[in-house]
Amino acid sequence: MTPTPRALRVLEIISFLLLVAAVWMVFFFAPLEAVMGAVQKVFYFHVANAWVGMLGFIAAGISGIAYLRTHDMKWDIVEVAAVEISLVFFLIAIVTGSIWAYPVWNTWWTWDPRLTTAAILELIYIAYMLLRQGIEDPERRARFGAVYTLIGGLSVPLTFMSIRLFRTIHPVVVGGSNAAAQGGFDMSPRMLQSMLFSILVFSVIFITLFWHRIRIGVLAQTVEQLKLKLTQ
Amino acid sequence: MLFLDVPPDTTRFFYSAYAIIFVTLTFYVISLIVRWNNLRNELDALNELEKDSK
Repeated sequence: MTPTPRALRVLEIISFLLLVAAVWMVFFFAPLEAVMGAVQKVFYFHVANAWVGMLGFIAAGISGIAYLRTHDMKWDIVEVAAVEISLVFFLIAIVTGSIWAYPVWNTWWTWDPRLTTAAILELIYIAYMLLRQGIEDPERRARFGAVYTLIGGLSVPLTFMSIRLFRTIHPVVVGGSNAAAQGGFDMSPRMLQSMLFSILVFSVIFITLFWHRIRIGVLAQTVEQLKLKLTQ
Repeated sequence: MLFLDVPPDTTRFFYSAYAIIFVTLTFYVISLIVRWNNLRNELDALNELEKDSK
């Protein structure tokens, strides 16, 4: 196994510095929203985490297609890496959304279309990770995973569009409004800059973690193959 | 929350959310490091075993 590539080391440093800058922007650059107060600032990282979470689930679906076309196990490694990291980011988005909701909606959770589809999306991929562990044969596992992520990926646009398609109390902050929404606000230029910067930062962090997770997958595959070789 | 002169004090929710973000990310990064190290150790042990068996 080769040592950590220089580009990955550089990416780690960039990710860290960008994260520090994003935190500074959220705490000191973004203005305090007049109605909700400080809790509105949860929005910046909440949106960024949801964004990279969904991006990863889509990346997993694309990897699934690539595996089904090529039967190359490297796509299976990419697929699992994408799902695992997205599960973490999307969980953060759900939990931070719930924390924001309490002072704004007066409840931690409600079975609103957006919250429900987001919870289902997370559960679909938790089930994917659990079901994979139950399959011994690597090729069968990869084939199952590819088909699963392909079908599971359909719930990503549904979750994304749910606030635009259904009557929901979840605010549509970007590109539209919702009459029933509670906790919506008009973004000032500084708010918009903070949100876009947070999305950029978490995209870079995602790439860094994704690269690391793929390397772990490759190493695990090497170990698995060596074990098989020694037992034969 | 409407019709308030000053924004309500929701600072504790703000700090809680960011604490959760950083704790979760830290745990995930640690889990990646631990898994990497465990696999490296396992690979080294298997390589030794392979050498011995030859």
